Amino acid sequence: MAEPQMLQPSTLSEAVKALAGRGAVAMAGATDLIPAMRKGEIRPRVLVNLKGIAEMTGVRRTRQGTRIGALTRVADLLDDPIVAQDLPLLADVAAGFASPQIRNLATIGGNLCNAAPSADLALPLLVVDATAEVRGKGGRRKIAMSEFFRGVNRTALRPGEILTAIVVPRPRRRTGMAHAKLGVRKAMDLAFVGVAATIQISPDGKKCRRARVALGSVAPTPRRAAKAEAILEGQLVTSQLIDEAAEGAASESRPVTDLRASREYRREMTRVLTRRALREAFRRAGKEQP
Amino acid sequence: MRFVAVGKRVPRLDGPDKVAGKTQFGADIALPGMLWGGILRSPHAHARIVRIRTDKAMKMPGVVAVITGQAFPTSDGEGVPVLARAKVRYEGEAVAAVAAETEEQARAAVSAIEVDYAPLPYVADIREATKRGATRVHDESEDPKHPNIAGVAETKRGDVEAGFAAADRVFEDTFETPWVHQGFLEPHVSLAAMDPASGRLTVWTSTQAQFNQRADLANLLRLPMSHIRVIGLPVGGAFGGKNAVCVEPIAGELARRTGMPVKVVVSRRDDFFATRPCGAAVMELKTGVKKDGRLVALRARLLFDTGAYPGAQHGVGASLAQGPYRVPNLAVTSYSVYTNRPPAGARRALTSPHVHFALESQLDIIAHSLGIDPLEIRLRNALRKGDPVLGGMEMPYTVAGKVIRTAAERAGWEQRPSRRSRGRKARGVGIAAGHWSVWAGGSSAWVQVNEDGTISVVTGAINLTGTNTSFAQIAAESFGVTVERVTVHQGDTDTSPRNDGSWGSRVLFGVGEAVRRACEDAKGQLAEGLSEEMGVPADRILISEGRVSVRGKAGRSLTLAEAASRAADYRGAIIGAGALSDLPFAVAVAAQVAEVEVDRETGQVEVKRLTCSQDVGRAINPMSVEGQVEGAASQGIGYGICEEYIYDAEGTLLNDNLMDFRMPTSVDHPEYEVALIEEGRDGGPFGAKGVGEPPLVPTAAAIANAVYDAVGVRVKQLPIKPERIVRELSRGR
Repeated sequence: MAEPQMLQPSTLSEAVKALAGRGAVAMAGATDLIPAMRKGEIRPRVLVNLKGIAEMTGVRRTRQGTRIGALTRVADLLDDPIVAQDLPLLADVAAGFASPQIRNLATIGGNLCNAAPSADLALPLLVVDATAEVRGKGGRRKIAMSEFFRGVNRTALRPGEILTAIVVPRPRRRTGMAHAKLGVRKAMDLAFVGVAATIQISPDGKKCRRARVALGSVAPTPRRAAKAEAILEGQLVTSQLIDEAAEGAASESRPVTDLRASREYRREMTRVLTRRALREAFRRAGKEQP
Repeated sequence: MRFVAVGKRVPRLDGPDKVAGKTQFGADIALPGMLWGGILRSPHAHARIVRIRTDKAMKMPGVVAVITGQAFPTSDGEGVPVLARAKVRYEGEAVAAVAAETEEQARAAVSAIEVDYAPLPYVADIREATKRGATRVHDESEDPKHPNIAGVAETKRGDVEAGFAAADRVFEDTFETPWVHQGFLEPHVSLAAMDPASGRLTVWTSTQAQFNQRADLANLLRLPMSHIRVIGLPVGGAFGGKNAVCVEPIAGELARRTGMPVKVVVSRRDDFFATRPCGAAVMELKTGVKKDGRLVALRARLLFDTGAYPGAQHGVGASLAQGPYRVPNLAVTSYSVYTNRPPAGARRALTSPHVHFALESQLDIIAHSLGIDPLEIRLRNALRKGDPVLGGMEMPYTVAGKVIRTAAERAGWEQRPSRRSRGRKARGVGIAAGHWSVWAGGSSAWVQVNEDGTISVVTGAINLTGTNTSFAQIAAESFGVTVERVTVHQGDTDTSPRNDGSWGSRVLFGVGEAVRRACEDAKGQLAEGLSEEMGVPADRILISEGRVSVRGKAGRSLTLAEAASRAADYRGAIIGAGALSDLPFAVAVAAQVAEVEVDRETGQVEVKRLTCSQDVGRAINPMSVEGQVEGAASQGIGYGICEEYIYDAEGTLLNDNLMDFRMPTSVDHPEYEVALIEEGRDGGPFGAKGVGEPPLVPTAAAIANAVYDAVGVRVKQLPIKPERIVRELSRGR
């Protein structure tokens, strides 16, 4: 592997300029990048280390919601007080992410931009309608999380664009969230099925006002399960309804067979985990203060 | 007997350096002017080598030498060529090697070697390989009706047909186990340097068997054995995977050709698909029993995948087929079968975990079918003293029943939850036992009593498992001093007496006894040296509790330091030697109870508790023994529920790394409980015998039996896959 040149911009505009160069690749925690380079899957000529860019760090509340800098490390999500309050599901998912060593390096932005079908952190963001803030040559723009993933290791970022932050809308009332995933072992593993769900219930606690279901590892990208959501919204929540929604999610999944699990098993587990996540989300929604 | 050092919980002497990262492993060492070796490996599972062109590679920057199969006219002691000649027989087989100034240059030169292959059909499955007309892995000397048989072992006892005729029930089942990596974390690594003046070659390597390496290297490199020095380095895990030569001859040959030191570090991928992992097995058992569960006849057909080159699986497998049970009538046929897979190596208790997975699973099937408690059926059949065991021996002690009962008692077998609890998660408990024969082999040690009364122990045995710490305890006990007064040195093939490899759980048993005998020898020399001065015959001089005294005469005593410095005046030095190969086989029996939780919807199995018991004869260092038991059992959990080589349709290994070859991590382990039984003694030091391998033997079967107990699904194929459990459960619904 030829040594790539390393650039260390300290502002976003410098970084955008650096990324315009030929063969330039953005780098944050590099926990996906370095293994890919070792395998020869990518051969950058220039590595643009984003870690010195202050405006991409930190978690704070803004008028739009909770802004999580793209450089926020997965380890920081675990014990950030704002995340704990505004999006505890993200902290939960972060706690099961790879291993402590990797969590200490990997960033939320890197996990999303790597766009693995199994991207752990995508699921909680998909079910809260998060938005990606992006900066490129053409200036700033926003991309809905549900539009962000375009294929295996492909995102909606244009060449030279940088994901700078994720904005999560203020938590909704009477909303419960839950996730479930399956892997072979408890750490250092990629989930072969992951599901996150949110349910907002009506003031009487019986109807589903709003539902979000996101699936991981069962399609080329992390994705929402629109059919499952439609089955739930506006309906009286019953165990049968949840079963139907879970069935819907399974039918929307497009899993493949690989060395971790077969297509059939993944589809069946999508149903099982969606049901579990929805039940738990509904239970938690009922516990929220109206 | 009261001990001063034996039986004490002593932390490993090599522990602090390892924990602090100070230990220098093979990858850490370097010599001035050192070159890097690189190895070209076959991309084909089976192909003829039409032509190899090395001229382009030779001209690459930094390249000093390129070698091919012609460099090694002979194969190693197990029949494996160092570099393929004429044919490659598995994906990853080494074809050529280079030495270059940097690692990158070596890698670049490897890819510049041009090889024309003519791919051949390949056979990867044991059953396919034994069918008439199967693709042959080796062309020569084959029975056309039974292709690819690398070795056969048969054992018989009694009249198996009469046994079946007398049986009330006969059970027939087939079990399968997968290819797995041993799971050592340090890949193979070697550094070789030749001294041009003397023509002597020194090889530093991560090996279990430095003296065997020396003999193999002499043969492969056509050097006199006296011209080879092998220095066994600290080993970062081996588990049988570092028994044989690997890259040592390549490093050695390149060092000889270039006149410069050459280091070869095997990559993780190469370590997975191109060294000697543990082969798959198919085991067909036909077992006849009486209504009360007594075993009367066993016919076993065992097929072990030996990969592309011969191995010892069939012989060892056949010798284990009865398990720790009395089987009056028995006929075992055991085969090693060639396939186009890597040559199968050893893994902790070679073939015993395979065979016992089959035996112990079937015994569970029989117990449930006859309505007998799985514990009870094992107790009824457990080996007793005098029972014949395979290999023409008699069981030397009645301990198997106690080992099995102890595991059950500690696990609360009688109070275990009622089977098939309802709900999403089902708990289940399973029991299994196993055995392993420990052969001391060629063992030796030197012991010197220094002038200050301290003891130096030198052995040539590679310290894998903390055996050096136990040797210190054995020597300390022999002289009645504290462990701190003893140093243990692992010498190399120039500086220490010959030893067989660190395998088969033999080191503590055999070498430990050699250390004890060397201590007795040294004590005898001390007594002889002092007998004139003390005015008593040597046999009246007593050495104990760190003092030298005269039996029956209080008051007249010397410290060990005084005695040693005076005796040195008479004799020059006090140097005891111990060498032996005369110990009888020891039989080690282990039993385990696994408690699992099975998710009925996802099929996931979690081992919640593993209770292990084992007869160890004598625990020289109980902490170390418990560590061995827990370590082996944890390997058994991986073998049981997650580890396997996965190949694609083209015969390419897909999970060639520690991310995709899933071994349990530290958070995947249950609570282990270990009960040591110190009863069956067979001539090892203070009654100790081999402990490292037996505890891997029953684990996978105990887990499979627990899964059956939990959800009623019988798994006959390892690993126990969640997907399979879900499929079986939905079928039953």
